[in-house]
Amino acid sequence: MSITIKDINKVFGKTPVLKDIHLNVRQGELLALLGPSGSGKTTLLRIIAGLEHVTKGDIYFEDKNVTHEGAQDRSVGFVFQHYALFPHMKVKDNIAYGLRVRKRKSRLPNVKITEKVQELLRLVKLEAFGDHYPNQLSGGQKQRVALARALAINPSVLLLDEPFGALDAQVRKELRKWLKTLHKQTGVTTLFVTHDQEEALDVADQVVVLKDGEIIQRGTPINIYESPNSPFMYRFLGNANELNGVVTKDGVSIDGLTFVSEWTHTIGAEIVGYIRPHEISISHTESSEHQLAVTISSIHHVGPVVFIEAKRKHGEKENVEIELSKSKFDELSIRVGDHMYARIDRLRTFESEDYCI
Amino acid sequence: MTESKVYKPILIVAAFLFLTLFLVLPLLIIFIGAFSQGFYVFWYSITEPAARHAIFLTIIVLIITVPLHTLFGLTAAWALTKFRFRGRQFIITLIEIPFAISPVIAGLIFIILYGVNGFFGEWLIDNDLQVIFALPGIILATMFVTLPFIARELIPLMEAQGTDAEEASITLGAGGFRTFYHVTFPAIKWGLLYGVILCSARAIGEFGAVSVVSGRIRGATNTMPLHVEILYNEYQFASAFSIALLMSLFAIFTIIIKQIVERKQHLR
Repeated sequence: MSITIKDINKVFGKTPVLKDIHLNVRQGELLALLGPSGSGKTTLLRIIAGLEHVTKGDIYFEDKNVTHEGAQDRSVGFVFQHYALFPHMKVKDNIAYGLRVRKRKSRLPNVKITEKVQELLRLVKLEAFGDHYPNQLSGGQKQRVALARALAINPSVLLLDEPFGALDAQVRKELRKWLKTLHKQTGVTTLFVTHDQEEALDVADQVVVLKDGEIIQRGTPINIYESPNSPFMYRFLGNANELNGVVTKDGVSIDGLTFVSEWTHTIGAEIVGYIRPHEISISHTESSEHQLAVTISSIHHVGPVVFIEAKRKHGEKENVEIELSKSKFDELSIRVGDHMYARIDRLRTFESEDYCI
Repeated sequence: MTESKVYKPILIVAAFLFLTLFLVLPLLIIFIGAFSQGFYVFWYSITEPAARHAIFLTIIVLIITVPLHTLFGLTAAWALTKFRFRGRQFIITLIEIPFAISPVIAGLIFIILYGVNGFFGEWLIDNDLQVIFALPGIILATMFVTLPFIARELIPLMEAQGTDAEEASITLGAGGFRTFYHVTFPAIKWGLLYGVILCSARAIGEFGAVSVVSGRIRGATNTMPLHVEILYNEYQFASAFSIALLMSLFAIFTIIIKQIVERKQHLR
């Protein structure tokens, strides 16, 4: 089912939490609501579920306005960060809950319910755990039960609030993969909230980034990562080096060095340039004039990647972070204290006035 | 030999001595006192009309007070923990007031309100209603004193459980009542029972507030603790101890149930 959100505003007391949110979610989409804490992403999800009232605005499921329908009638599957399983019910009864509480006329016969529960247990790969109680399961298993329980009611929309937030890294990765497969199998329109950029970029088809109750950017994961539309996005999605400069007729001048920016600015404007650490090449010898002279100040190995901190010799003498593959690093044989030249492969610039965090 | 090896037995023995002196010994005295003039006196003391009436009255108070407080405790705890509103903290504080006020003062408050010269005194006389020196007064005083027990047991419990499970139930299509019955109640039932036990014990044993409002009319407005005191003042020690023993047995019974409940709560 598609979801249309029109001009949603939410105020808690006097604090606005969501401001004029417009959002379309297409049928079958897997969309991530990504944002730092306090950005309003969970509130937006809860509003879609009907667990929170809107102050202003409308929500449509397909063409139906559901703004004033309660959570009970919206037929959404909601998955909570801390599972919210019913501790006194066995796994199979947890899953069957949504089917059993239906009004008598629309309730399935018991045999059908049992069948459906078995089917869902298979889907979440917990066939052997139907008679266990939630406290006998691991975190990852609990969350899978919660998902099965949400899917049991054939929800029109599946909403997940930081579903992997309480799990450890290994389980989280597995469940991420599994959620993607599950989404392919079921095709249910799915929204999930996360503050983990990597998770959003890895799992979702579409990423919506929120900050202070506003949508900052929306796009595919590649699009969002490759073309951040603001300094905030650059900082929020991965690391970025910041260099201050001025726009000249030849391009962007950063301390006497001229670079070509992908964006056009008015001449004379002050700009901030953003460079991803992996978008910098480094060499021992100067090959062109468009290189920053740096001194290597620290080297940090993280598995197959090497992070290098280098201090600029000129200008504001900021630290520049450079990311190299282990093989490239070995090839260059870099040591702390080396004087080297950094070439910027890709530079995105923003005029300083729209520079705000 | 480490220090703990020296202190451990000393502390244990001290604790046992203390408990014997202050708990076991008095209970033993009650037991001995009750049967000091033989079983027949004991039996008579707890079956003679005035005693029977006191027991009856106490049970009446119990079966009116406890269900009402169960209902109140559940509603109050539900409202105070599942919703956030202005004045919430104030109400929580208000609920605890009976803990802080001396029961005698509580009794006096009801005299001032419903006594012959009280605020509602005239109206009550005009309508031929008697609160003070009658059952309604005893129930009011008992309810005042026992008000916090169930609510206070449930509020922290429900607070800690949060609202996730209820919200999950609602998104799965269950209404408010089904959610309460299937999700909330099973999660709080042991806590609730614990509160009910504490509330019952206090409702049976309450002396101060009840003694002020009841007027202590033998065979009419005497509850068990009041009856014990009257007998004692009349030097009928064996009878007084007999009733006291009955009350103590109930107290021990509640403590045993409380232990079972606590164990169940921990197992969950």
